[in-house]
Amino acid sequence: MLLVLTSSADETANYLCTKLIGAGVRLLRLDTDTCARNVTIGYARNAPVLRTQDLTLRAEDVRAVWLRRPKPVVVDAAGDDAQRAHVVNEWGEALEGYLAHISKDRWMNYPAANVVASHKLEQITRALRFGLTVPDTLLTQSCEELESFWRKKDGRVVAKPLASGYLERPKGVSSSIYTSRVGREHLHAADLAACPTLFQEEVAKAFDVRVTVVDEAVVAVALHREEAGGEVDIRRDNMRNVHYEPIDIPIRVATGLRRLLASYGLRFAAADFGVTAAKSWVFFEVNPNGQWAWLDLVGVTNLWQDFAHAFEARP
Amino acid sequence: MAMWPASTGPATFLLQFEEPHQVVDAAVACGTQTGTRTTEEPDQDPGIHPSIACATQTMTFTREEGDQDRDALSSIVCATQTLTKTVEDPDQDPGIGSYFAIPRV
Repeated sequence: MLLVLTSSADETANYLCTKLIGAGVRLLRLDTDTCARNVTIGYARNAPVLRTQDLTLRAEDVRAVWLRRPKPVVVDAAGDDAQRAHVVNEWGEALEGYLAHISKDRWMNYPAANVVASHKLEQITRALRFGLTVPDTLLTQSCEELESFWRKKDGRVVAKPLASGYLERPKGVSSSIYTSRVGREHLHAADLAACPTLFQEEVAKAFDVRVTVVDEAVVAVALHREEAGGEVDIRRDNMRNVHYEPIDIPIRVATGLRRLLASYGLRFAAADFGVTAAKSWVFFEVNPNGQWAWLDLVGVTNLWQDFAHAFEARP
Repeated sequence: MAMWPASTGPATFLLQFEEPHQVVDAAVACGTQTGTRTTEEPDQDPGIHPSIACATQTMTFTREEGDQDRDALSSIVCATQTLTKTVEDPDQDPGIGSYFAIPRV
């Protein structure tokens, strides 16, 4: 049995679960934000069990776990905030206790592996070790360092968020910070000392590539802009004018990427590259729980089949 | 009426590139949103902070008092502070769910 650990509103989980069920894969979807209402957990005779209305699943019978962005447990318990927090923590720990009985090799991905693999700066350092080409990178709070870097790169420098570029305001206007070209006018326009900021040399991309890895499958898709704009960050305009094309990934790059992911213990990841006119593949980052379903939905991949194979193939 | 943040100049370098978020109308148009939701689903897993699978412990981060003093206070200072603290220091590390050295909201 495949255990899908996700949340009730996850579109990627909706997509893949529908596909897997259609393909005959036996699965239990556990939406952690709603599970307190429709799932019970038990432990007796040294074995934990998860019970739904329809089935009882022993941890030892879980052949595979797909970790797809679970959310905090939500409880309807009465009481004050502290009491509800206590109940949430008890629920969480009960779930963790169950999940801890499932061996690491059955997870895609193991949660701790995702955490270790999620630091952009360390990814750059490690990618270099595995033979991938990376942009010259500077993290600084010093205007002098930035200016020196900017001059050295003839002004072809971008700034990008380290964690996330999405600023969510539930009661206001949410905003985004994309990877952005740093012009002379930006150098002294804001307080660089206030926060460490990531800068990289701007890669002269002919096109972007998203590489999705699912166990042995390495699927590369080129993302071409059909109009001007978004040369620095392909995600601009919600990628409206992007044309997709399956492409081959050079063996050297595929090997480096495989070794990088293996070093993190990742079975799944979505990696971003820029390819120059001279066909040089430059590694930008890897997302251990990144998005991929949209590539299937635009018809350029069938990644769900790779997931199905990965889950079915687990002993 | 929702208001854009006050225009007093960016507080950090990166914030000078902040721009209104563009909402998409097609489901999973770029894998980042759906037509029925207003929250972002970026490539970076927003629930990555806890190493535990269920992201249940994030609310406890601000009350962390681990064995390793992240503020590098001396034991004397720490001992002094315990007299004025009102938060509990249980045997079970309440921040155990965090795989990050620096707690995040």
